[in-house]
Amino acid sequence: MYAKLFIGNLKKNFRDYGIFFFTVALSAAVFYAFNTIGLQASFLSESLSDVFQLMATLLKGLTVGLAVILGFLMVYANNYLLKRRKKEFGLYELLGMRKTTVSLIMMGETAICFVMALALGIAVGVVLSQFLIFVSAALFQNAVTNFHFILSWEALQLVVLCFGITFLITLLLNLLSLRHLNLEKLFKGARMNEEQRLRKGWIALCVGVAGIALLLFACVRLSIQGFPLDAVNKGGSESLIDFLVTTLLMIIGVYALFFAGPSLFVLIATRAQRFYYKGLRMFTIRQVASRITSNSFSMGTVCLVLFLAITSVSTGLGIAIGTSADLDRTVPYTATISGTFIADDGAPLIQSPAKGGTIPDAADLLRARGLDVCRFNTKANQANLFFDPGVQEVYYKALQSENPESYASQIAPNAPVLATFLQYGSEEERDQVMGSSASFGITPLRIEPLSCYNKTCQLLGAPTLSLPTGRYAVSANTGGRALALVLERALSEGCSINVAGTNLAPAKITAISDKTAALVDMGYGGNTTTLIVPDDVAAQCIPHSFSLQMVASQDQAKAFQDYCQASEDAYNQAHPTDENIGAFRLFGSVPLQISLISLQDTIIQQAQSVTGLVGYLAAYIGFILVMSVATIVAIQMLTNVSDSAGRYRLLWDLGTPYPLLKGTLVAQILFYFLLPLVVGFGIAAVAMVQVEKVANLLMPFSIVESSLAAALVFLSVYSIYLFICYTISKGLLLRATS
Amino acid sequence: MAKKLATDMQDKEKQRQDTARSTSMPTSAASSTSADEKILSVQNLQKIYGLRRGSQTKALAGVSFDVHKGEMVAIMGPSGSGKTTLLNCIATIDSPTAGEIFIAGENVARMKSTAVADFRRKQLGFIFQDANLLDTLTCQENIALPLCISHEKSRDIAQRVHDLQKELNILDIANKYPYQVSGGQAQRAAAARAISTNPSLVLADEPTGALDSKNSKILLECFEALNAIHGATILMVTHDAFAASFFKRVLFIRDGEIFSELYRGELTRQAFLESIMNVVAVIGGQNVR
Repeated sequence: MYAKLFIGNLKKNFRDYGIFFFTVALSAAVFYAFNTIGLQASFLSESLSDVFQLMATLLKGLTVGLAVILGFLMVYANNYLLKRRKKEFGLYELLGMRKTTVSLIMMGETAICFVMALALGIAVGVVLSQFLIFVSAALFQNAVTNFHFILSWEALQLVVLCFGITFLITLLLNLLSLRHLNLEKLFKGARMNEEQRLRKGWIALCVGVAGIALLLFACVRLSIQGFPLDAVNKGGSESLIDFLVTTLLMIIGVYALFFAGPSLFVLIATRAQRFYYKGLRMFTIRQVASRITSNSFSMGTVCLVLFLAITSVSTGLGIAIGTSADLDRTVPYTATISGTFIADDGAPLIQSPAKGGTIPDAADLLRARGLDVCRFNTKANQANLFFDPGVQEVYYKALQSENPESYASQIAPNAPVLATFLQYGSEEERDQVMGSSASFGITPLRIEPLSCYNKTCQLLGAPTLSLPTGRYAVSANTGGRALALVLERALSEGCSINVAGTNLAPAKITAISDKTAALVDMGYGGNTTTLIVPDDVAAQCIPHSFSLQMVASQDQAKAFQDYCQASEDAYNQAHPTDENIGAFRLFGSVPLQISLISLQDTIIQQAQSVTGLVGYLAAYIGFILVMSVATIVAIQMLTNVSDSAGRYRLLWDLGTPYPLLKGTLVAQILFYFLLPLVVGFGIAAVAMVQVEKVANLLMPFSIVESSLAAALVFLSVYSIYLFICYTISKGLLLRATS
Repeated sequence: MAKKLATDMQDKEKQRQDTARSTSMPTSAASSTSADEKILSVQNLQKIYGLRRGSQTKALAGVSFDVHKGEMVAIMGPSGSGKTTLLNCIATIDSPTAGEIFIAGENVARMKSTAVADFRRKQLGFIFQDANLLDTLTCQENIALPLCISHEKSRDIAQRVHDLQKELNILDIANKYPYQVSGGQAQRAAAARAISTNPSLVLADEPTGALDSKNSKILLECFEALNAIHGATILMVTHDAFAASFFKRVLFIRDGEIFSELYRGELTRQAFLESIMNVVAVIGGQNVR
């Protein structure tokens, strides 16, 4: 008989179980699918295996954390069901059924619904995980090989365990709730009208206006002050305190807005009779205002969670996109080897060419050591880089001193150092560019002879550059937007530079930032600022470093890189403990130190790994967070609709046309769903502008692309819940008016 | 409150008679013209429940009666007699099994569901037992609601609502919510709502059922005032003989049929009350015919 009761009740209350069912099923599907990532490595190239294992471990940990959040959600969803059916359960008790039996009925229904939802969720998750393989392949720009159906028992166990524990907690809380059922209040409750939850006029005015003002003030403050990079870079606490104050103001503003904002809106609306006395507008406004005010704390929390979710997902996706977006520009060579012509203490090992210094041929040296840089018809170019002699001397003294900033006065105003260009920037731009290094301003700029630069252009198939006498050009492919703006301003205003006693003016008003600006292969670029000067000027300077740039044809690129790697491995095996420090090797008496080789495929793969990892984590976290808040909002809205059934019935009896009733329902649902989203998006937009400034220090970061991608994830999940809520509400309305 | 209403009624009645005297039509002719206009005509109305299932219940077994414009008619009967079913069919909340219902010349029994809401809004006013005001709106907004749904101009709405509140002496509760006012005040607000759109017919279902005697009297005097001032046609279902005595005509229903009918005529209210109670006793079986 009880089984009949369970199934009958489930059928009857199918709509009410909808949100709970959907939440459990969707969570199970997502949890299972994302936790099969570890298995996906077998379908993709071996090099990605480590990355996928790392992702699998991270996602597993994250799943447990997110399962706790989801657990609260399921309890909340189940509470809604319980409240709706308390009277029914009370009736069972009134008819003489024991509390234990009532509890069993409730447990049975919940268990059946839960198991069905979990089973469906896992089934959907299994299907989803097959598609996820192809998504991963696209993300890592890889091809799927040996595809076959996968089933992860580990993922299954994890999902069942997490959800099983959540289910038991839900049951326990439900049992406790049933235990405290008060029959008298229960049956009286149906007749009691809801007391209006709106704030008094003066409270609404003061707190509502204060909330809006605080929120706007916090946004303006964040726009002006930005993130506390000083605290991170220089260890100062003042900017951190400012940031915390801004955050606190924002939080208080959000809660104040939801606490009194709706009441304030009612206050204003009632005074605009032409607007207010139209159709069911006054009913809609009061319903929404009352509901939001009743749940002001949870709505405020929903808004803040949405803000966090939007910001973190946008940032994650932005980093993911930015990391791999620019690789064509920053990693144009098949391989590069860089080295220096200075001693460990910074003393130059080679005289300037003007004073008879001879720069060794790195390619010849490497060939003698067993690495033929022209193997497989690879073309190579050695780009030599110089330092201004005066600046070099001061700089290396400053590095050895405890107070490097004090040496800034020894540098001439238009010396070839970064500070010369930074004069053209605002204080904020200077702070952004200087970043963590106090001596960054007096760092000598690398000086590249025009002939070396043009050989790089020929190697990459780009047009060469011509420099009139007395002119210089600038190349840079990193440093973010702040540096780019500063350089552009400096060059436009004709910033004069004195290189080894020769005054030079800019030949172009913009810095060269295309692939020819890349000195070495580096994911985020490695060229902060390099001066390109006539050869005779460069000859007056001290040889500092070089970059051996190698380009193989497309069909030979992999073979060449494998060859370089094999050569590197062989050398390391033959010289397990090198007498040199770190990664540098000395070529006997030859005055140069050489670094490890950078291979294009390796860098690209690492960048794509970051892309994949950050992208997956961002999508996973964002998805679950949005689902959580959407569930809470949907349940609160459904509670409102079901509690208002009597009101809709009355409106129907008074002759309100059905389209008008549906219209008010749609308006209420839209308003309730969109208000926290719009406020959250608004605050997130302000935060994202600051995030973009910070991220642009390292990489190209597009706020538009990343925010659009995040918005897509959010709106798709939110829309599904909105649609489910609307469908269930429409059913409730039909029932009330039939 | 009762004295004020009575004075208002007298003044308005005097005004109406003066106006009638000054026109070319004689008072009696004017009265008879308006009285002849049928607002409600119920013809052989039947309602049977459980037609598709095995057991059938005949709630209405062929009810026929008319109500003219400006009449105040009460329908009385014991529990299960079919009076609420009759009211629900007239109110278009329920659909009859057979028979016709004409309200202001339109056959509501055969009306399509899409037209029913419009008709209900324009032609009918409702007063329920427990006021049934929307608890999310203030009393003033509850009164304004039917006018808003009918897309009246906001200025007209505000004026109309103010006038009604003044007439029924509920101006002081205008900005209060239903849970903040007494039952009597809430019912008066409900009465104002019912009359706000100048409906052809006002339907009241046990309006004094949840009120004490004092508030019942006040409410019924309000009905008299609305009838005198606005010419409202009121059809009330009640089991309370005292409430029925305020009306000019009482229909008695038993077992789904009209059993008897009483007109007040020139009787005092007390005398009319006694007549009503006699009939009630007969329906109850205490006087054997």
